[in-house]
Amino acid sequence: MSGITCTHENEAPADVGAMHHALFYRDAEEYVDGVSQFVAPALAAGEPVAIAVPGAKAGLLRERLGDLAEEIEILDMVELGRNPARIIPAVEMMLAKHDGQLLHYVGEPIWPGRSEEEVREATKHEALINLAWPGARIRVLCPYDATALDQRVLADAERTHPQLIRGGEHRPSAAYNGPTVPIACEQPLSASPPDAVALSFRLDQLIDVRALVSEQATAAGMEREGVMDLVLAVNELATNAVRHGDGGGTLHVWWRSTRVVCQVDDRGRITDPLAGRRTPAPDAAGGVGLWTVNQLCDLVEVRSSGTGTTVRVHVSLN
Amino acid sequence: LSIVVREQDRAAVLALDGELDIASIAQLEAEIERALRSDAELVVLELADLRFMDVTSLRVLVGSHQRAERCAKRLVLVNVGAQIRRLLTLTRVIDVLSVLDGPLELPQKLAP
Repeated sequence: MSGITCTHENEAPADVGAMHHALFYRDAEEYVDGVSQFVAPALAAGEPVAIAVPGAKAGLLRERLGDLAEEIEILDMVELGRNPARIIPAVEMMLAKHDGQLLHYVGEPIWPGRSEEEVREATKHEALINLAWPGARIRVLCPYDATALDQRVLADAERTHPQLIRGGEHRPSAAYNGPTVPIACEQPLSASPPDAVALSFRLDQLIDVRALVSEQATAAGMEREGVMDLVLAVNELATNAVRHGDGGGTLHVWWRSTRVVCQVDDRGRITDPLAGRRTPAPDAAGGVGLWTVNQLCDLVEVRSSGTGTTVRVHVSLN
Repeated sequence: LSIVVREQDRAAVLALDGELDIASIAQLEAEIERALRSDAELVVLELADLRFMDVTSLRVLVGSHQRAERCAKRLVLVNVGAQIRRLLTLTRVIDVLSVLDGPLELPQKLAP
């Protein structure tokens, strides 16, 4: 996704710097203070406010904001941001709903205990926020637990946020280098494990792709509905491979006690960094496949370069 | 994918058996086109035996639905299975297409 660096670095809309803040909080008090200071003026002005944070944090904020909390759309980030690639489309729907009003959005997509893969994708999501809504009427505050999160995670947050808030003080981030995705998020994925089942496919084998995913997911103990969703998701990845990746690709499927993982490799290249993060209209002609995959899977890792595209999707078994 | 076409009254009923993806959708699209050019006023897709539908096929059906409307005809889906219903709901296409529950006689009663 070098396209972000090359194309947009010097074209960032003037208001991006003012719109995306990281709040590094050390305790619950700094958390509620920081968030209330961000949302209170908006509420007073009658502007829309939305908060997507892990459930327990939402409780703290409700307590502090009292009656004001009723004016806020509060979402559980553990659900919404399970796959971080679902957050931008969700916020985009909020922007559409509030139609031109200034939206204050608090999003906490990274919390202690998230897996390394999840943190990497959530960090990429943070970077893409700087690209997602040029010129839109939005301000974003992203709380980070400065006590419990790894230093590398906090360092990446400084790279992905133009503005930082620490101990009540605001300052521009020296590490912010325009809307680029931190290199760590673009590293190639680990090799698929030796026990993965592999299948090369072309157009006429899409049916075999679906059969293999269905068989493996069922063997892993996945519920019927989950199997249907995973089959559809992988079918869309394989369809993209047939269409854009030299007529076909390779599927790998493996499973562990907690999840099923499917990976599609092809020779195509995804150039739009926001691919799959725009909600398609019900009658849209294209751009629906990867969006659908994001809606159906718990985590989606996309790596694309001149040599090809790898998409690895994870679906939890519980 | 196999498609059995039968005409009754002024309806064309296309019974689908198999799976719909980018390898098979052209076949269905051609059958729908033929039905829309016939004197049938209603085109019914009978989906009880359709085991899978992908996103591309769904888009094609939206296009066919719009063409049907333009020539004052109707395209309806009946006996939609669990996977297809989920796809329709997720993509919100269920608000665009006509989806009827229940037995196949139902759309005939609705025919003009």
